[in-house]
Amino acid sequence: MTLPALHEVPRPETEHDKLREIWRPPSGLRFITAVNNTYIGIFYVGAALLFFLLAGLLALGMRTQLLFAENEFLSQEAYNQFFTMHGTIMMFLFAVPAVEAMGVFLLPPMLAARDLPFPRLSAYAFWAYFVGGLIFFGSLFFGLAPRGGWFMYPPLTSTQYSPGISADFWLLGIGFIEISAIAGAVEILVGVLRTRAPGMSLDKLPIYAWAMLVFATLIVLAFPAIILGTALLELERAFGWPFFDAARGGDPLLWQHLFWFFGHPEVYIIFLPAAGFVSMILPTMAGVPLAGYRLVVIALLATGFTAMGVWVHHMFATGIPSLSVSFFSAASMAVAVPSGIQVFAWIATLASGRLRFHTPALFLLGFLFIFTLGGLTGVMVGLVPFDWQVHDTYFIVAHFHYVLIGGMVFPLFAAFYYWAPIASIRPLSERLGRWVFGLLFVGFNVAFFPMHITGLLGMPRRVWTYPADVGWEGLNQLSTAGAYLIAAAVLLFLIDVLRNFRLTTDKGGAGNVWNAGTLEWIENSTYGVRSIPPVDAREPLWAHRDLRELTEAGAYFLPGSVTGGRETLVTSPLEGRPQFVLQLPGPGWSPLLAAVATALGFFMLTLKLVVPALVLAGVTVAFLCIWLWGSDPGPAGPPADVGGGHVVPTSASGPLSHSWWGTVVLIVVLAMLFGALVFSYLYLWTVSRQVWPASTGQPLPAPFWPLAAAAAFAASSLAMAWANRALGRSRPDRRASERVGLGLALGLLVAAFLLELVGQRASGLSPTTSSYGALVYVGIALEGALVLALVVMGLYTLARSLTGRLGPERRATFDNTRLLWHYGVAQGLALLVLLHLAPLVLG
Amino acid sequence: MRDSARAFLWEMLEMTSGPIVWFGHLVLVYGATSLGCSRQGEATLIGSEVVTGVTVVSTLLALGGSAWLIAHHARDLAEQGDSEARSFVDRVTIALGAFAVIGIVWTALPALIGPACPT
Amino acid sequence: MQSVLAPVGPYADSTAILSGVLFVGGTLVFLGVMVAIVLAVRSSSRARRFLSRDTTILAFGAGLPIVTLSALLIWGLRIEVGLEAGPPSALQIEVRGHQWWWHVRYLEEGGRWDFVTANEIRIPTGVPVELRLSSADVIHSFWVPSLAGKLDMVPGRTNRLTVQADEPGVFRGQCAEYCGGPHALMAFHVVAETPADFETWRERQRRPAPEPVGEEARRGREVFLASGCEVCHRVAGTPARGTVGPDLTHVGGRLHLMSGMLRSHRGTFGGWIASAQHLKPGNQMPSYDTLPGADLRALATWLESLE
Repeated sequence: MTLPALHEVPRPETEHDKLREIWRPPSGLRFITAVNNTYIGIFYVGAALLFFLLAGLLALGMRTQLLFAENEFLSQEAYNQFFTMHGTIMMFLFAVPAVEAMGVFLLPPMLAARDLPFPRLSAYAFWAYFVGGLIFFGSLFFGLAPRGGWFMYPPLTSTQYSPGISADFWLLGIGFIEISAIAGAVEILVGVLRTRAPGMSLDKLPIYAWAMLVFATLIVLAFPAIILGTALLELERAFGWPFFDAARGGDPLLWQHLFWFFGHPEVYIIFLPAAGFVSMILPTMAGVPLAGYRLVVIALLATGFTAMGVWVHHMFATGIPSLSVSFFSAASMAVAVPSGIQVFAWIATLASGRLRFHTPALFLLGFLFIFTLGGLTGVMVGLVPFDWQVHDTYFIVAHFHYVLIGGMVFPLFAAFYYWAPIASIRPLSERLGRWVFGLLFVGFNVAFFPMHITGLLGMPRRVWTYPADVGWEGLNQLSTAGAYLIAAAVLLFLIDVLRNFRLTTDKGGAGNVWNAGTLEWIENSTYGVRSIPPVDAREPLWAHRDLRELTEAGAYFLPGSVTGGRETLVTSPLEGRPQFVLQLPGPGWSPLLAAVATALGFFMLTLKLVVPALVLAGVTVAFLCIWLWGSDPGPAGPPADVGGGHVVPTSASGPLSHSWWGTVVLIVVLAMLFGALVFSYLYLWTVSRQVWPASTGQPLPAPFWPLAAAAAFAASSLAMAWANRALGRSRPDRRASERVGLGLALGLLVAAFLLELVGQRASGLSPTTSSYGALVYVGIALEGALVLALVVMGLYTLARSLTGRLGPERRATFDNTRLLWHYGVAQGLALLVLLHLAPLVLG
Repeated sequence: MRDSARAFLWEMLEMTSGPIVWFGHLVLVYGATSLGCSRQGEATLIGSEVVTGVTVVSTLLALGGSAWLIAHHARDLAEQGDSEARSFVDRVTIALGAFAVIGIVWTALPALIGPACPT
Repeated sequence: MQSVLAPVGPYADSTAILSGVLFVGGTLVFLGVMVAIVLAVRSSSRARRFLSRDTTILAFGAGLPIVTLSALLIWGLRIEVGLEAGPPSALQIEVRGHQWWWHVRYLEEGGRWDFVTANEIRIPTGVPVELRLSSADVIHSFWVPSLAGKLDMVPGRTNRLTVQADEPGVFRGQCAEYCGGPHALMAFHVVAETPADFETWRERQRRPAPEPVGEEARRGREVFLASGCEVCHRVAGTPARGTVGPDLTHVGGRLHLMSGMLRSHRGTFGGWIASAQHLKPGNQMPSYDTLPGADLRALATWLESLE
């Protein structure tokens, strides 16, 4: 059955040429200025693979050291750095970036969008991650690598027990790489929700897109906790503000709560996209639609939710009362239900089709084997008494490698073999692929299965050697042999890639070699598809056999450019109705340079070179402004016909606008960050009431200060609202009103912040005496950072107004500033309540 | 506008209302236990009877809330005449509600099995 | 010796049984899923039709876990409650984790300090013993798998762990929370003795160090006091009062040196003193490699005699 063309085909030839021209990537070495998702996706995947190799080499070193009892291949110091870096790089620089990278590359084609909604943001996120990651890895060569384990527990990682700057490399380096991940999450959320093919309602969304929605939501909800945690530990190290120091009212367990509130969702952030791969690849390999689509969606949502509520299961052995701990044991059991549903949905898919045993299918079978086993050991360790024995032993090492390698790496290899034909002129080799699979599967099980036993025989984690008489040597030797097999598999994979992967972003890949049903298999280029097809089925290419041909002939939406520049179609979040044409940016230097400046700035801070860091911060802001100056262009003309008489505007403002959605996501991130602070405050109060004012007699600031600050905050919001009203009108004095409003809002916001800061200083409170003082000042610092950002944004918006780049139809800059402004005021008021009312109420 | 940002937000919240209730339940019982059960030798901030009370009440409320959600959407589904997209939302809400019930029951089990505050 | 699967008392037994059931059950479920996959791919159309139904997905994917995990959760919770709520302990011992050794102080009835030792904990068989765990510096974790699960030693709090050995023996344990540097070498032993033997041992611990017997031992004590050892170590009955390092009053009676890593005899005493940094890099004790050989031997002789 054919989907009728929207207009005359064939299209005028110049239309396609013009499309190609508009989307042409920069030539020569300037390819690094590309912002298109195809390029950024490739860079990103490549970088993630590089870090995978580097961290894998570290693992090989570790396994070689453990080959014999009392071996001296690696020294104690080297080994401690190796295992810290292996875990950190695998989790932060490989796993999350790899799945995010695949999303950047795959989602627009899968949704028939021409690019992601904020291309320069992806470029910035990538370069920040890449440069920052290389600097971080480089610390190994200078003996400066962190050695506190990948979760860096204080007090071991406080200045007293980790002198020097190696811990700061982790805190500042990883802390800022998380910003990359959050930027990616914003892209993916807005991209999946607002730039889909027309007609692609939520119940027709590819499962991979659902998985990425949950993935991005988890990032937004979970990453702020570790951003706060790393900030707190860095403040403690650099300035002596005690958050984790028990002697001054801190608690080492606060770190663990913050870390694991992030850390557990982190592993689902890594796994769910891979489950999404499986749900896309398996149906194609079996030749049938996914069985139980709705059940799988439900399972993804249920998994995502449960993932947020089990973090204390990493803390069963810390001495927290066993009733508390048991709640989390129960919640941890619950995750088995949606996982079971997904596994049986995949089995049902296999059963309703006919599996073709190509390389991607082999990796999926390997995944099912390994991940199921890992999931079962997960249920075991979810039971408290069992965990009390195996926590922090090689049993746990076995468990998490089974679920991470089985659950993510195997699907990732399946994905490489499966989707390579989109990006490469030639597919990867089936023959080599089988060998890669075989070596990896056997090597993995030989390496990691024995570790279950090793752990039960008493071998703890993170030990650089072991005695000869405890009976662990044989098992360790098996594990090391397996590790070398894994290395051989990876090497073979690299050979396959080098021999067969021939990148193409323009000439078309190897084609739909698997006869798959989803949109990314229509011939793809830097501009995505030639025209954007409407969608009325979950597997559009199976429902309409001539869809590909008609799409490539330009029969559907946007066969050319209606604005003369890069663009994509924005659609409504539930039903997928076309709403407006989004003007997209082309290549540029500013995101790249801003990212490099940010990475170097954090590096300078790590080296304690504050002035260069501040300079680089300024440089970053400058490049950000240059970058943003070209955005918010307003409508490119009157509403345009995007195909078949559908006339939509060429820009949008208010809740319709994609940047509004991006700002809302950012606000959720900031709110979670603040929420983590509130949690830290309340948690430390329960642990250390003796340092709270009611016990110490520390005087609170006089009521004048918070009241004045609150009034100033509120007035600032009012001024902003007034400016908003002015902007919405077309009265002649509009411009003046909006500028005055902005200016007033700026001044009042700064005043509010200063009033709060001065009030606390005036009361004589110090941030270093106790955790109470530290919490108060970090709350103020958090607000201060936001106020600083808002000041920059306010001045920038003022500049837009003064240069005539702000108007009733060209107001995204203003609206985003306004949204964040009101949030900043709300957070400021909430902070005042916390700092001034809570001590009185709590006592 | 049916498909506006606000409509989207409400529909997302609706679909995930079951797990949201469960999450609220977990926060309440964990919070009460943290405040009311000592860490071996330290004074507590609320009594252990309060802990039990909060646990029982929040469990009943959470179960009631989830049951209501499931029933409400099951009724909607039975009425038919809805778009495919709308019934999708109903089914997801019911299924997640049922999942939440299991989660709430399991989360409450520790309070039923052991003493209110072991040490 | 250090195995979860060789429990020697009630605080490890129930977990070992749970482990057994979990392995058997887990293996069965795993095999079941693998069989289902094979059937889905290869078998007759009847089996495949059954597996492809939505109700099958729900029954096996949700129903089966709900039933089995409800039972498992209840059982696991009961074991957990049982481990926490045993009979009152007959003996209380404070164990304080240091980088990278274990400070052990026995308490009398009523909580007063009885005597101090390090790295080796002796207990009477057949009775529950409460260990009060704390830390002097970073987070450590106390784990002796034959007797109980692990419990962290967190600065700022005291955690209590109950262990009980139902038969005599030597049980090895190890720090199970990475504490930097030579964390891998921070081991200890729990030695369970019959109540009578334990009493004998306890009486001896309460006494100061025995007087040196023989010329070499006397010389050894002089070397000890002249080489600065007394700054970090205490030997009751001598002027040595240091508390930075382990108490050595009865070090000769312990089975091991170097926090559970070396069998204790004259050779290892000498070896440890002369090359502490080489054997355990980064630990707080320097290598006394400038001591003349005769002094070293005398020192080792004296220390070995401190039973």
